[in-house]
Amino acid sequence: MSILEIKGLTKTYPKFTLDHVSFTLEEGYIMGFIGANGAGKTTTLKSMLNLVHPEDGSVKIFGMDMKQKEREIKHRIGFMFGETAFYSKRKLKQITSVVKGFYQTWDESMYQDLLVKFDLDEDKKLEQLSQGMRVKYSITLALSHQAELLILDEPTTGLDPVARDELLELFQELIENGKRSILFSTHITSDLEKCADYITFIKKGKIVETATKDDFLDDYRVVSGTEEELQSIQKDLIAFKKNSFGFNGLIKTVKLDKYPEIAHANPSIDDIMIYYAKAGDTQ
Amino acid sequence: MKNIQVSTTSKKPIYQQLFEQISSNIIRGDLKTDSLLPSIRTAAKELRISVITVKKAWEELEQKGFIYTIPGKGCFIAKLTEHEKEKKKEEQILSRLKTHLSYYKSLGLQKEDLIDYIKKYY
Amino acid sequence: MKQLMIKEFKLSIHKFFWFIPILTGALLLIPQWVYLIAMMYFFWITIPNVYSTYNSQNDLAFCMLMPIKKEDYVKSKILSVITLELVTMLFGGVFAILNRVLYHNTNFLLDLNLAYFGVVFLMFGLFNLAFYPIYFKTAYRFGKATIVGNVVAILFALGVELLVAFIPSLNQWMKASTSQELTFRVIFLLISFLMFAGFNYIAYKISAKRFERIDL
Repeated sequence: MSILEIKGLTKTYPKFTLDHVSFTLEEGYIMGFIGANGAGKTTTLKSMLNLVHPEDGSVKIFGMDMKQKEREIKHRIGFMFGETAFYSKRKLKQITSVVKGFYQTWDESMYQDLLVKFDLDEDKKLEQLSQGMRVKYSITLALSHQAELLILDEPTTGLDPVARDELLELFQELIENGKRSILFSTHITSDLEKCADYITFIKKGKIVETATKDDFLDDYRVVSGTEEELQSIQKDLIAFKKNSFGFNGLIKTVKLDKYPEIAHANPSIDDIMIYYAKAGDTQ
Repeated sequence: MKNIQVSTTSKKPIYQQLFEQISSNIIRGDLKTDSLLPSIRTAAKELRISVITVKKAWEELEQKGFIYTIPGKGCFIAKLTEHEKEKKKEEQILSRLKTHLSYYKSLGLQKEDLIDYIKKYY
Repeated sequence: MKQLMIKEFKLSIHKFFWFIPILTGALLLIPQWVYLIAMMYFFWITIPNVYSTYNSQNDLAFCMLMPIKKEDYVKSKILSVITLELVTMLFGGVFAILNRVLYHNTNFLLDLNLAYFGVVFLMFGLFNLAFYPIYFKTAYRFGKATIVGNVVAILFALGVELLVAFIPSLNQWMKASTSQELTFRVIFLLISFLMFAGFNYIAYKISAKRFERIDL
């Protein structure tokens, strides 16, 4: 079942357009939402939550229309927006006591268990927590009201590698039962190599590709060759870089058959993002 | 999961790595017949790879007869006769040998040269 | 909605703002004064402080993550200020009585009687009517809204004080103590209260509509 279904989301700003963004996320999977800063990740997430008003398109979560069932849907999702901290001078205890009142589905024993599991001290103020602990606190709140979909904007930004790894492991643990899904945006692509099942790649307000991670990586190849080879292949390259030995470039795997002689290798997600960014410059 | 190690930087797709390592574990007899394989989601979590990748490897294992599924219970190691084990071993060796041989051929190596190399370094 | 109000007073609005009404109330003990000024401290202290705290604590972002209707967010903001305004008037009432008991004399400007509180209702109502629709254009910038609210409230207060001071018949109605004038003042207080409620309702309607349109 699709837990999240976005169709044709469009929003025009004076200097930026979110252009018919569509993707879906199935129950029980992790989707990484990637793109350079300013590509439209946060705007997409905000339109999904009715915080900005798209001119066109629809957002369905748990099969319900977001515009009609906003409250019902919000009961069943958990969010986290980047590094924005609210009520950071308050103790976790105080924040929780307010938050839990909003949810009929609040599970106090689960909350207590998670506090122990994450080593969260309720008597600490939010501002005393490290970024990693704050993310864990957000996740604790979401899980305690039994959120089935977690929407996290840049949850790993500002985390050290150890904390980041821990968090990604937690993500996989959270979806282990197959009932919960996670959509998280990031520009740290190594996050995705480790745990994402699906990748949605946005560039300048448009979705470049949305696919399983394996297919996403399989769809591209990094090719390299001499200047002469570049002449013949150039029109099929998404982008390329010249160097003193010749060139490196990114190509769609389907087009590779035309050039049986060319040297090629598997790309990393970074490679794909970087070449696409270059493609933007030369266009 | 013991003895399984995947590398995200390897050129080989991860599901392929998984398939090869688990199937060779089965051939060697390290994984006992009828023992339970971890669920797809647990394996994904433990190996820190995508659920979909594990699913693909498990499907491949089942298709090639290394494991069988009991709905609602999970995946189990299939019973392989010695003959089958030998056959599968040969299949595996052959598939890898092919890619290696084409590389040696591209370097212009003759069969005898290769055998010499093997004698010298094996 | 109830949860939002609990949030307002548990997390957002500091307990100190329950104390301010006692201070502003105590100002009514000053003999011979422009008593409307005492109530204006609400616009000068409580409003800017409460609203800058909302911003610094990212109250809006916090609330938008909760399963609430957007209009309820607007409603909770107006209701919490109304609550504080009523508390301000309540303590005003206590100190007004104290003033009357202590001094026995009448004031050149408005006296501390029921009519005074009627005028305060109108002043608070007008302030809210000016403040909220401007504030909810952004749900963030409160400076312009506070200034406009203040200008409206001060002009209104000035107008009332001048009219009462210089129109003898009005002065009579507002201050004399025969039963006829007392009845008038009770009715005036009731009408003022209804207008206060009406102003807030209109402020809410316009604000909710504006807030709905904002891209947060």
